Amino acid sequence: MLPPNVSSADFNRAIAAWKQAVGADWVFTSDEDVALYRDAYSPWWDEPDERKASAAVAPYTVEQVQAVVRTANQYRIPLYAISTGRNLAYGGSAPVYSGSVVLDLKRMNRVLEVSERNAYALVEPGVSYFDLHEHITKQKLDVWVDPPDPGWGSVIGNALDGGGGWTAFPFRDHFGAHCGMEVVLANGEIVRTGMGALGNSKTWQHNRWGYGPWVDGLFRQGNMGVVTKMGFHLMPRPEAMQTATVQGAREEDIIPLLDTMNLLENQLAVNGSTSLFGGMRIPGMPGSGAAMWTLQLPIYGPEKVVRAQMEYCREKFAKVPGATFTEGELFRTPLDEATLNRVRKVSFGVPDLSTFGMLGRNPQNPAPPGGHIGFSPIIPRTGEAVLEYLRFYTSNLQAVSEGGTLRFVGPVFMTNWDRSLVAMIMFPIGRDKVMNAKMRAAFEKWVHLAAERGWAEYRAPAGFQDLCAKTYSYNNHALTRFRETIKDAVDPNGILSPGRYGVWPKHLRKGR
Amino acid sequence: MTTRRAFLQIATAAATPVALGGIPGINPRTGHHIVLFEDSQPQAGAFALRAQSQGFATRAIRHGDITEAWLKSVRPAWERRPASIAGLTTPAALFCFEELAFARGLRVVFHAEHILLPDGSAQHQVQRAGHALSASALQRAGSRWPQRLADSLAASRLPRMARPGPSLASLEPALPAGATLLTSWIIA
Ligand SMILES: Cc1cc2nc3c(=O)[nH]c(=O)nc-3n(C[C@H](O)[C@H](O)[C@H](O)COP(=O)(O)OP(=O)(O)OC[C@H]3O[C@@H](n4cnc5c(N)ncnc54)[C@H](O)[C@@H]3O)c2cc1C
Repeated sequence: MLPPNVSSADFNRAIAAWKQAVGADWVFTSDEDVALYRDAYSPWWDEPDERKASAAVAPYTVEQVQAVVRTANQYRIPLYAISTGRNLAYGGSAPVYSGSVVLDLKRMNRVLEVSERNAYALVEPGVSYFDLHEHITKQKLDVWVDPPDPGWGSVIGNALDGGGGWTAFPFRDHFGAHCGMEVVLANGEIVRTGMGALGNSKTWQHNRWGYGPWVDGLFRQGNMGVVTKMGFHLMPRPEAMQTATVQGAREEDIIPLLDTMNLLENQLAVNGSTSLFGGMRIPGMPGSGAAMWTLQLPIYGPEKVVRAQMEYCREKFAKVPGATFTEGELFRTPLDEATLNRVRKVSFGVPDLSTFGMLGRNPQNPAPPGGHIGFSPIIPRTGEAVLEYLRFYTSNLQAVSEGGTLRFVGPVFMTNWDRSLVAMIMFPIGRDKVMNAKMRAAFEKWVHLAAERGWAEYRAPAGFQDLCAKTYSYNNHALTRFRETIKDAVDPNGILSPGRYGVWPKHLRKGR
Repeated sequence: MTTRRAFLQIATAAATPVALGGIPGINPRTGHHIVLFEDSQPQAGAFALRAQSQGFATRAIRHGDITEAWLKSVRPAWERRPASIAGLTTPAALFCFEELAFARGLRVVFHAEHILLPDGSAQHQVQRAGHALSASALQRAGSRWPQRLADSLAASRLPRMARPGPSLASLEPALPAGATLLTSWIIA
């Protein structure tokens, strides 16, 4: 496969230049090697529209990244940068624009610094949560990482795609917790953001804002540069953690329950990753018993403070008629191995892969498809919005699921960020192409139906990024046009991740 | 054309049984580092017992969660040199190992699916034939198919195997009601 609009002569010249720059062993062109960059959960698996790479290049240093980008610019070859490339459910390591060359940064896996005193880390893109956790453990540093469910992902890649984890605020909002970046621009130039722009900076990971307009947001779900270093604030190991479970029996209870939970979170009296179950009886989920709603509120901090905050939470929920409040076990950290083996490890800053085991076949999930994609609209954090979303879901379910024959999973309400909820519906993707086509059609329908209500995604699978970007249509798509103006200015040949999150360079915009 | 495999001379060495004599944890006859099995399935337990008797080091995986096996056994081994591993596990466990193996230049060279039916019988499909074992050979073995699988693993010689792209482990097939799926595999 050739990159689109690139002659084989030019492609061969570029391949030769890349081999020169990174070493012949790290330029992949054989079909079997390039196939490794396919999206394992692609809803177009083995169909003509499946997004595929034409080759892959794996540099080891930032200078090599610069050389690769410059060559791509010379021959106008689209690149798609990945860190560990395990963006499963959102596109894996396959490019958004088929035929792009994957710029695989896995080999750049150095933990450059971890400061315990100021609780931050500076890492390269290939550093996974497992790697950073191992480094911290070996160095006996008293800070935690905040892993997403799969611990094998990249600290940088996850943040750049808008991912999140499961410990305390503000660390579990991974992009929000970053502090300073190093970026290779499309012309090969290196930019450092925030305090890193100082020639002799001593505060790159200490202060995220720096001086003047803040540009870091351009690289979140963006395609304006290749990120080669990134700083992150880490949580000092909290002394203790305790979770309260609150339940309500009636449908309308969700309104005061959520208002109370919001207040506690917005006051930071509850700082852990809260959860909300219920409204629909999903087998096996908490909240599917007698209670209509179940909220879980974890609190991290010094033991005395956790106990005081727990008491405060109890008082607040006592004012909600009918609510029951149960204090969970208080965990003192670090956990011993036996305790760690019976808790959800990621909530204690320990990366693992148990989430994949849970996706497997079990009595609650007798026919798992293996793959899935997620429809993740953001809705307001109010009980009224939850009830409206559930009514919306149930009233459309019959039609969109073809009379219940398409087995979606959800909605699952995720409280990743304060002041909003992610109301996720999962679409199974398997080997059956006919079923996959139906799932794609259903996904599109949910996107349109949700957009009519003013709800849109925070993150989308690669093949649906255009569709979702189009729902952000205020003032004739002014935001998209603004992003395109910036894209055309910083990447005039449109070589960096064309189409990522719906931002296309000028020459590829026609007809979209 | 560069293949990932070509430059990993170390891995090629690991795939040659003769070169492996004396490396702890690696079966000197086959070159496999370790055999993994799903602890919650009796068939996988039977497979592991037989593999042990063939000289393999084995390690249990519980409910498809490979974390412990990865962190404590496979990753440290692969940091020394990419060596082959094999297993009878859930598809999810294979998928995870396969993803992690790609980064080390290793591939799924054998992949079979075993559909365990509610009446206790099993159906077998070889998705990727990396060695001489066929679905009909497993079928003929009846309820002793796990032992047959372990025997064939012990007899396999890695250098004969092809170096293909990704397997189908990430996407599950449709199964009859009440059936369970196990998957056997070699990553090399
Ligand atoms: C079962 C399951 C559970 C999951 N749970 C979670 C969860 O709890 N939280 C969560 O956030 N996600 C979750 N995910 C989604 C996903 O797997 C993770 O977010 C994962 O960390 C993303 O892959 P990665 O870290 O390898 O990033 P990558 O795939 O490397 O990067 C993601 C994207 O960012 C861009 N990018 C990456 N690196 C660079 C760079 N250096 N420069 C420029 N652009 C770049 C690329 O467009 C790339 O496609 C889950 C998925 C599954 C299947």
